[in-house]
Amino acid sequence: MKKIIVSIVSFAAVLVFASGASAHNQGCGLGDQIFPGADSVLMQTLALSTNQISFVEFAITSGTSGCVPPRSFVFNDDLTTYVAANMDNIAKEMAQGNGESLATLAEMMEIPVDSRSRFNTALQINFSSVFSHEGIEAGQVLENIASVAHNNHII
Amino acid sequence: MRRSSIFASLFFFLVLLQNSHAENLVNSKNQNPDHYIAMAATKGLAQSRTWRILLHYKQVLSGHESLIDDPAFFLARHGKTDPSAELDATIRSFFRTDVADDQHPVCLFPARFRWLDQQLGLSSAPLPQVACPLLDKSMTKADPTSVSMIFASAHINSPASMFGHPFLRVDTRTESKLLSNAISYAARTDAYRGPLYAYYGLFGYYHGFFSFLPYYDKVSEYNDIDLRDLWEYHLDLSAEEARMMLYHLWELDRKYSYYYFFDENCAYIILFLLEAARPSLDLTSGWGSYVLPVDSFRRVLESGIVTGVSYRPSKMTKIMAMADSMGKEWIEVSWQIAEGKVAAVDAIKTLPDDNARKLVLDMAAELLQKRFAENKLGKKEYQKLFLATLASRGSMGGDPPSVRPVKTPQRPDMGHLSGAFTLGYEANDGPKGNRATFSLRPALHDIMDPQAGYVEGSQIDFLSFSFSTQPQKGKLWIERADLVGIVSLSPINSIFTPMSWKANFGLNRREFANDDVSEALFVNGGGGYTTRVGDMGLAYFFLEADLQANHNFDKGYALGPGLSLGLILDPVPEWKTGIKARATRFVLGHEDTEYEVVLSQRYTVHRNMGIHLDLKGSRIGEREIKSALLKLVLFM
Repeated sequence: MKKIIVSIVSFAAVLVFASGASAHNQGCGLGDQIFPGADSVLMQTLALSTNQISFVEFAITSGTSGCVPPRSFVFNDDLTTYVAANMDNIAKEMAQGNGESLATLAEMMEIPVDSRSRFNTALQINFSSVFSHEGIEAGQVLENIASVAHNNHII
Repeated sequence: MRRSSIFASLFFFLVLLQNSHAENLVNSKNQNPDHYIAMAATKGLAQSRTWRILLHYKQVLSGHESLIDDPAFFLARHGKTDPSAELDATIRSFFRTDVADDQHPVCLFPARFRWLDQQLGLSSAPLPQVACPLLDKSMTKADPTSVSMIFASAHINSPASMFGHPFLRVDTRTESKLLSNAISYAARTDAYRGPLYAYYGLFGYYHGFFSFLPYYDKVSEYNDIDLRDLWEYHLDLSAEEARMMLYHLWELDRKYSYYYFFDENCAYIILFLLEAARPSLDLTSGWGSYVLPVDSFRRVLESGIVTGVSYRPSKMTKIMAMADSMGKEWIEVSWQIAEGKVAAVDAIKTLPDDNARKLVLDMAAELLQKRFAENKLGKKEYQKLFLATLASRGSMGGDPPSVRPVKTPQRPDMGHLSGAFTLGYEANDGPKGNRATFSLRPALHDIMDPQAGYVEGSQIDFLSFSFSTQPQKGKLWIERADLVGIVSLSPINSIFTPMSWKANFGLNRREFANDDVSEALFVNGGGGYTTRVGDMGLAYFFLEADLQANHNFDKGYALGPGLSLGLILDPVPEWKTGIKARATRFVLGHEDTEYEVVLSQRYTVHRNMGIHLDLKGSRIGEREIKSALLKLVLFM
């Protein structure tokens, strides 16, 4: 009886165990932060068997994104990592003219608070020159953002 | 005047000279650690609360034992069970000269070192010169100012998230909260995955570790990918306390503990970090055999350090707010863009105004991401359509479109308490007869319970037991044991078409066509769809499979498909009513058809008390049975 209970509980708990999901940072372009096939119930249930719980050492290393940093501007690795990890949201908010991911980017780039709305507007108008092609990666996006900001006398 | 000030300076000089002379004398006596070990013993530091917190010691029958299992966390051979030996070894290790800098115990155990320094004045001891560049760099980067505790709510359709997940956020000076860091404790399961996965999780075979990640990674993981709401509980902890917490986290980095799903889990272990931040907080004592995430939040709230709570809606919640602000035809245009049938720039020409165009494009961008996430769109195609849609949107400029604001739901800690005790009486015209009933449910939520604080349409029943008795005949029965009973009614809408599902395993005392009453093991699962009925409730259907085992079945078991239909209405907060009908056709092991109709009412007296009335009619073979159950439910 005890064995039966243990095995039933275990089977049931397949459904409930694992309360974290994986930190799946890979790739530096649009769509790389979206994980196809994770949405349906069936996939979620199946995903449990392949779902790895994130484990990142506290010892912080910089430039962990593995993405190519911008060439012509002096930005730190954190910025490239951030843009790579939030690329789709940044693109969306840039086209919309505001948003939290975009505001975070402005803060990281040290855009003065009173220039932020000009920064947002300039990027919105120039959306297509920032996200200039489909396979664009984080470093290039940052270079394009910087040149838009520069041309508009924001930095 | 001048003379007196010269005199004063001379006096101070002599005092200083005197002091440094005294210090030199002390130092020459304290060349070895024994002096400090003796001082620590005199002060009783090994028994002090802070030492117990920093080492995660808990009282056991034989004395003390640390919940950390990694030998690398201890400096004494029996440090796991001997607080004094560990303290002595820790003090001694600070005097080591055979390891340097980042590898020195002063750098590896910075919380222990700081606390012992405060207690024993170690900084005046002749310790070797040690620099900790790695630690310093990490601390500078984390730059803690305070701490928040974050609750990732259960997402209705994800079994992995049923109880929610708690983690901590180390707040920093930045304006954007996304740039702070999150600390999470979780089992690392990549070492073994297979049929014994859950068994391993329940019984401590996996190693639990802390992770430290940018908060933006956590937000995108929970809000955007898992579609779960986040609740941020801001804690009244100072920068200095947050710093101490990080020093302690540093000691725990890469140190494993065996992860037990029920008690030594994510919800419990992170409480040690808060105690390390402020040792006067008592959060880890007095728990029973399980710790639910929402209960660890309640415990922290009771301690009085929560200064405010903010809500970060999931992407799904935000998309639904947008959908509610659009007409059906507009949503249809967004779908056409997202399916690549019409180019964004052409699709919006037919729309009446800029507000409509912006909404349609914003929704199209969301739908594109959704389709890509569902594998209905390749990456190249996604990138192309996504950028074309955003380019149209960017060219519109101006103010954002008007969207219905997201309504903040009830906080998870404000829901009814996690455990339930039930007392009732059942009138039954079948072989079971009239009985008094009582039941115990450790966790968590029945579909008929008040929904505030819980996910709509969800039921999570874990290890609940119901009993019935006929005291005059001296009889007591286990009426039902639900090892797990999950129901997830997730309504479909214009954007999302989730499946609803249910899964139940347990033991049920039931009637049979031959009038026998006995226990049957059952496994029942089903999938279906749910739709909203106005804004009053949910209607659903399930196709299900039912397997039962009992000696009354022809071959000892019965297996067959079933169909169930139901309606749950929540017209006012105090009252909930539901009806469900189920037919099961057993075809294997035993041939029969069983029907059941249940009409349920619940009246809420207050948050933690409800009165339920269930009227039930069932037909098993030719036998018809009617019953009425009136019960009082108390949450505790």
